[in-house]
Amino acid sequence: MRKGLASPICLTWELTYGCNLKCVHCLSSSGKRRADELTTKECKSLIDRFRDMSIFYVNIGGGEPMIRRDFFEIIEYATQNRVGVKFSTNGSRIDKEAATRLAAMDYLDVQISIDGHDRETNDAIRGAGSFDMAIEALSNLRDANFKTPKISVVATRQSVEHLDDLDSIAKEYGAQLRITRLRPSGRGVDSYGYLNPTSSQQRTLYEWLSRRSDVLTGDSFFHLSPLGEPLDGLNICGAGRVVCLVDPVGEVYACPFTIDENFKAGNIREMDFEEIWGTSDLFRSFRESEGPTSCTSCSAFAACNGGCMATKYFTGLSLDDPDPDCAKGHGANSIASSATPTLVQISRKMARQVVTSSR
Amino acid sequence: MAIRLSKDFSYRREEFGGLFYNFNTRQLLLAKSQITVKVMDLLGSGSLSLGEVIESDDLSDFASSSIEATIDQLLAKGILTVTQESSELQIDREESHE
Repeated sequence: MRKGLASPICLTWELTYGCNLKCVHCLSSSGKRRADELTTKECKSLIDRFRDMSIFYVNIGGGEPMIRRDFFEIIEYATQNRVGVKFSTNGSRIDKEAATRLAAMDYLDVQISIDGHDRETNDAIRGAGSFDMAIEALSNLRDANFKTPKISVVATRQSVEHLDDLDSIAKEYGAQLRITRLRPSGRGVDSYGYLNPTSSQQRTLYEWLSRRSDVLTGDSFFHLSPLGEPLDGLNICGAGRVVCLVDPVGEVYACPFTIDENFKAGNIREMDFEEIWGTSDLFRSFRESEGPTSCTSCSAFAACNGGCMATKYFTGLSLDDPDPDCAKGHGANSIASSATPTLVQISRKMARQVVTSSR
Repeated sequence: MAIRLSKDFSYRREEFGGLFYNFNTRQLLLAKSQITVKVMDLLGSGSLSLGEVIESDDLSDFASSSIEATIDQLLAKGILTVTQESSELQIDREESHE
């Protein structure tokens, strides 16, 4: 997987920057819709490309994707074209009618975001009333016989202490638990300091996940694999190798956590998506990288391959540094010495070249 | 009778071999063996009889028993499925549309 694939296995597609919530850790800093977001016709044309490239499924998010009036038209077009859909939602638009419509579709997964085992914990992150909205959506999906929705939880200092409680909520609604890593991207830059689990909690999380292979993780905790037996899934950052992100205005970024000029590979309005995926200098640089120079001599390198690129970048580290939450403790040393972002500078230069050549 | 890729699966070629995706279980499977990749290349999005696959020039490097064993495994995993129509019958039907 290090050298990348002919097409992404899946990609994240943020359908809109519009959102009725303002979560403190939102990766895309969503709130207001942009006037230049992809039209329905452009969305369908992009799905045609995904189908032609045999991209197996798309992770649709936002913003809140269901606020788009053409939301159902888009996801139905995707699944009819055998592009599977997993979409993330705060649940506010899943009333009984929507739940019934979703339950009738094939190749579809719904992920309801909840960031706490109770109203107080969740609403402190996602906003007042958001816990009840999510629970109502789960209830509507259960009543409509929707098969195994997911409850998507970002691991935070607060939620890590209540993983079993969150699992109980999932079980109550016939759902499957999905836990993903907090990244300091978007509004997460400001909340990362008080939300990111402590190093002792990271170990608790690793041990809990090691016992629970039924819990989905989006392969986001591979940086913890050096703590013992590797966790299931990829052991390397998939950005530009097996995944990428398409944002609401057609910009293609390396991954969902890198919505930043330095990680932009192109725009689908200016260049064919397949061409961006295949020829972007930025993506090629990731595929050709042998790993962060500070990590390749580490005894645990094969387990984590240096960790998450986005987390390093947004905590001010170089891409050649270890992950800030490195299980071996090397990340803390790098933060203390505030290294120069060498690879980031290279990537920035490459991103500029891509933009220039695509004009 | 003919064999083809099951409708529950998607397949694509990769440099290392190929990738199967199961739409029902959401599982990703790697195809690394050369026979599997060649069988899948041969089938493409259509269907062929077992005899046509075994006798194909594209698979002449492999023993019939190995090809049959590979196809049996792919059938057992639900990746391939048996269709009631022969590939010839399908061709006949296509011709009758013209």
